[in-house]
Amino acid sequence: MSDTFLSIQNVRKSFGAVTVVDDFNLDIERGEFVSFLGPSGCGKTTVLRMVAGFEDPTEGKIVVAGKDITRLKPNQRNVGMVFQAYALFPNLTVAQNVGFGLKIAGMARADADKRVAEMLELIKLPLAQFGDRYPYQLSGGQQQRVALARALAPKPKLLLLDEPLSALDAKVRVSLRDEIRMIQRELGITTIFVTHDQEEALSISDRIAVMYGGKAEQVGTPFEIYNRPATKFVANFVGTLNVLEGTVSDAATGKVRVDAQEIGLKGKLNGSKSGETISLALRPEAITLGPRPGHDASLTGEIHDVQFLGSVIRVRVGVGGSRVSLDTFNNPSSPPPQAGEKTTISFASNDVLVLH
Amino acid sequence: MKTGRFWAWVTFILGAAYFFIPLIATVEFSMRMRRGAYSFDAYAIVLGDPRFQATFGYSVVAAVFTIILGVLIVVPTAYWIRLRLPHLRPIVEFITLLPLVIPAIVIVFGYIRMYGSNSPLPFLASNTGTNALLVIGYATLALPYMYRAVDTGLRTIDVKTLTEAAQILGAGWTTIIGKVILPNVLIAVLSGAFLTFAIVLGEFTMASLLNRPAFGPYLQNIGANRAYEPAALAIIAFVITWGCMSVIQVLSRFAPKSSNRPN
Repeated sequence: MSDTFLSIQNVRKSFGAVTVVDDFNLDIERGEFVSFLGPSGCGKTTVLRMVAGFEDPTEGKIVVAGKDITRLKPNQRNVGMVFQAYALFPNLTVAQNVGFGLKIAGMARADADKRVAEMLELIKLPLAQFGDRYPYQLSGGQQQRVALARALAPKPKLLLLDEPLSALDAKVRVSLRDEIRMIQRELGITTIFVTHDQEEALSISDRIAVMYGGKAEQVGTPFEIYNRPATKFVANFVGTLNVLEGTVSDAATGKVRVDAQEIGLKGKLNGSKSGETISLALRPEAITLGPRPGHDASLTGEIHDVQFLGSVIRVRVGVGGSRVSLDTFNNPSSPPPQAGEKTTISFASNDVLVLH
Repeated sequence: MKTGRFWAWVTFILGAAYFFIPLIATVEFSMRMRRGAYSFDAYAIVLGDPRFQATFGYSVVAAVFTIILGVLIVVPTAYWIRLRLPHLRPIVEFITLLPLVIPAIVIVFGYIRMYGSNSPLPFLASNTGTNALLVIGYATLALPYMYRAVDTGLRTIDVKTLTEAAQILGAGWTTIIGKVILPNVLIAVLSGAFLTFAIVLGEFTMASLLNRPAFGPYLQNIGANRAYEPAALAIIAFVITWGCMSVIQVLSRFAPKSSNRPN
């Protein structure tokens, strides 16, 4: 039984003649963590800003808990938001920043102080130690945690995170990402997370909406998005993908010719006709050097490039005009393959994604 | 390299001499009132003159009202231009520069013509009205300095994101301007305020043509009729102006550190 909490219905946004979001639809369940993933300019931040109330949709409506909030002002929506640039008030201390929304809501001083202490405890910046510090006295990661506490303090119905980790260094990004997810689970707050980083989206989301050209190309769980991409764009954008050009030699038996070699892809060529050119996509982890049990398709090629990366060896194999990249584990008792060697790569035909 | 440093010092010394020799000469002259000895007699006469106290007091009050008016006009305007109408910035900057190109005498004659006792807005028909008109005129003269000071202050903070952060937390426009924007540009506003104070204190044309008992006309009047007192007055005015500038410098050290941008 679905429990839709936020419903974005047929939303379109145009700036003059330019449409940046077009017919966007998404239902998000209560307590769900949904990421908007896409390249710059795909409209993900615009959708988030429309949910926040900073942009008015040209068409469509946004419903939260059954209430149409499309025309409400941002300060009437009871939504929390964390910005990429932290946006802490420089003239206020950490405690004052976190208590800002509570003060505006008219909460009694004692209750507000208690809530501020709770929030600072939640983000592991205790009030006694950090409450009196100013934003400039904190690191980027600490500032963003304070921004998260400030957004959560007034108990918003919805939490919006606009690329909150982009300005942080790699190590802090990973730890804060896990912390955000943990806090979100603990509070059970419905959350939208905007990012262009696929690893971030895949690692913390319940569902991901992959956006391109103002539309949701695919909405699904990280597993579905990665393993069953619905479009060529999703397949290319999420994860590394090897693409081989092939020609359907016999559609009835599922035979496909790749660089004068034939492989069988029965059941994967839905709708393709004999003679049609198709793209075959394979994730690097689906390919091995040499045969392997369960791999029913193989192609021969020449090793072009070998990169020793420690525990992993990245091998690029030329098959016809295409390059196939695959990773193998380093085996100290067996030397890595050499560039120029002839080799065979194998894979399970079931793992091939046919892109039309 | 050493030659370069030598010429740099020469230029610096010449520049310093250009500014300081007349100043030192004025100080020296202002202290020669008593025959055969240096004294502060001229200063004592000036500071003890009831007209000095009255005109100085009048100008200080006028400066305070000018600053309030300037802040009320400039802060919301500069904020709104940065937030919502950035494309209008060149136009607004041009308008704020006009008082530097249009002489005060032109502005004041315009006022006299527009706001005379027979006009629909007869500011000049009463003392209060004329005082108000003088303050409005001063606010116009100080506009280039006040606008630039506030605009520079706004440039150091991320106005748009801070506004949105406050909005999403439930704040209305008054709270945003009063509790988020103004405190973060307060030092810039104070800089503009002290510049305004210095301008108002020395302004002559408007006050004279509107026949107001301000400090500028008093300075001119003393200068035309006395020998040592004008020099003492010039030094007093100079010290007040420099005092204002020093206060700006001191206050700027207390500006909130802007850290709302990612490093």
